[in-house]
Amino acid sequence: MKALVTGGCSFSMDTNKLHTWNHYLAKDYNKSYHTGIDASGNDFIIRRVINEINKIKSEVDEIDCVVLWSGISRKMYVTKDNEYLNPGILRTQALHNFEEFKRLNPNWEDLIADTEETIDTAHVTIDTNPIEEDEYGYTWFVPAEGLHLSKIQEFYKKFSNLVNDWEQTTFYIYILQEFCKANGINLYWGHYTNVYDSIEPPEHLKWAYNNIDFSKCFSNNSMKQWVYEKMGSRGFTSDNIHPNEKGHEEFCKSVIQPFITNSK
Amino acid sequence: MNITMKVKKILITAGNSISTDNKNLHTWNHYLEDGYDEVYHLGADALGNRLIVRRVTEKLLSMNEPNADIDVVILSCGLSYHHYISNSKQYLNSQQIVDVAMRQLESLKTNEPTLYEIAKERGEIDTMTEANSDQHIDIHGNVIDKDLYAYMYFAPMLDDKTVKEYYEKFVNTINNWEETTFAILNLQELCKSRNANFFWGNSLDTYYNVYEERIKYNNPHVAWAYDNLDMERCFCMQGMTKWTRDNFSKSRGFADYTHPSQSAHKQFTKSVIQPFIINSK
Repeated sequence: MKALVTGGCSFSMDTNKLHTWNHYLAKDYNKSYHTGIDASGNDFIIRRVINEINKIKSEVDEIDCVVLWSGISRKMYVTKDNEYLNPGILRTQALHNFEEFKRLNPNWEDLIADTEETIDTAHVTIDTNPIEEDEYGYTWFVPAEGLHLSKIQEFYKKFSNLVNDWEQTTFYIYILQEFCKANGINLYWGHYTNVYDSIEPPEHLKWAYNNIDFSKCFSNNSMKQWVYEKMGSRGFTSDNIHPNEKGHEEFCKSVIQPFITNSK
Repeated sequence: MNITMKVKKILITAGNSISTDNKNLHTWNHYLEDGYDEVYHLGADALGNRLIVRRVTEKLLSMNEPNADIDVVILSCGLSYHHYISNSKQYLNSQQIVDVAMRQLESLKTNEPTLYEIAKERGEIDTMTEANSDQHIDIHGNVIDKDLYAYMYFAPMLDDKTVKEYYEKFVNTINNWEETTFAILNLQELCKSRNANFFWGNSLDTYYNVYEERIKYNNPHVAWAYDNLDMERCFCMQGMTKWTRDNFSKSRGFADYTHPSQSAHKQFTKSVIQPFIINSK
């Protein structure tokens, strides 16, 4: 049996309302497991992908793992209600993001997932089951604007920088590459936007980067850039940030599927 | 004529101060060296687990020894030791940590001159000064210009307001435990892909205690990485310091309040690590 495990952020979160690239790719496999979640950072993406692979690897003959890495500054944190950075704060951000999404997408009702597919993005297990706020669970957040999110702003202002974020993402890409190698899994990856490549770290921090197998990268210049160059605004939803179904389908058929076929 | 190729044996060790071998206090990894053709000790005072894993990863990457028998042995450190890539312009930067160390040294010199002299004679002052001057480094431990981005690392006990603010607001034990577990899992899988033998233990009992008291029953949903660790590779879950407490008197087993003595290091290696490695092969 041939299985597909995919990971990523909202660009990889397939729903009935908006099918994403992995939906189209799944047709080539007997079983598929999509772990992408809206707003997820790379630290949570790698955990969810490794967790999923560990669950299924003994039950299938072959696994292709395909990851579309997310924004380098997005963070994961294990927390609960009495922590300074707590699920309540993060839920406020999720609601803020949702309001912003609705503002940018007048047809938002057509785009959001069905109720049963909606994940409480503030406080969950590794498998995204909701957790009580007085228990520790996984949360994740993005660099945000808006005064009501001052604690998140404070974190980013004081204890985050792009070079540190770049190094972490680089280490995750490398670690997933080695994990897949250790477990006989075929790994293919790309980026959702081209921010990762725009960072210029000092040479001495590139030790992991220099050991990444870029022949497994199907889109270093990012999916978003590809859709923009090939399809223009017709490849995007009305927020001009997320590719629409046509954009996802084209990207899968023109980039990912041929890449995987040619790599084997 | 029979020609037998001798397989090169390589040892890579890492950890924090409990794994930092020096002439004043030989540590467990010094006593583990026998029988290896090449030895690399990557431990450093105050290194956190995520940076320990990075240093071992880099060392494995830099080696081109497809036919060697490589043993990677780490003693995982305190959960709350963190690292950050920073430069002199950042809110949290390494100069602060060096300043704190220097202030503590001056205070010792002024308020406890006898203790200061004893520490100086033992070489502890030099060790501390060297350790803190190295707080802005590349992955190999070379000191990097403070204006460039580089690795810095720190612990919560540092008497610095920025470090204290970081720990008070944005750090908690369960998150630390989860990150340490994921780091160990990463190294386990890396060793598998690089055909190296992985062995690990804990320096303190904190990791074990947090699991038993706060994860196992109360927050099992953050233990998915723990459940994927190969526990047959762990030679000391409850920590070397606990082993020392159980097997030595306080005066003979410890060099100071927290660090095992040379005798304890030697005995721990002979009684625990060496037999474990031999039996695992």
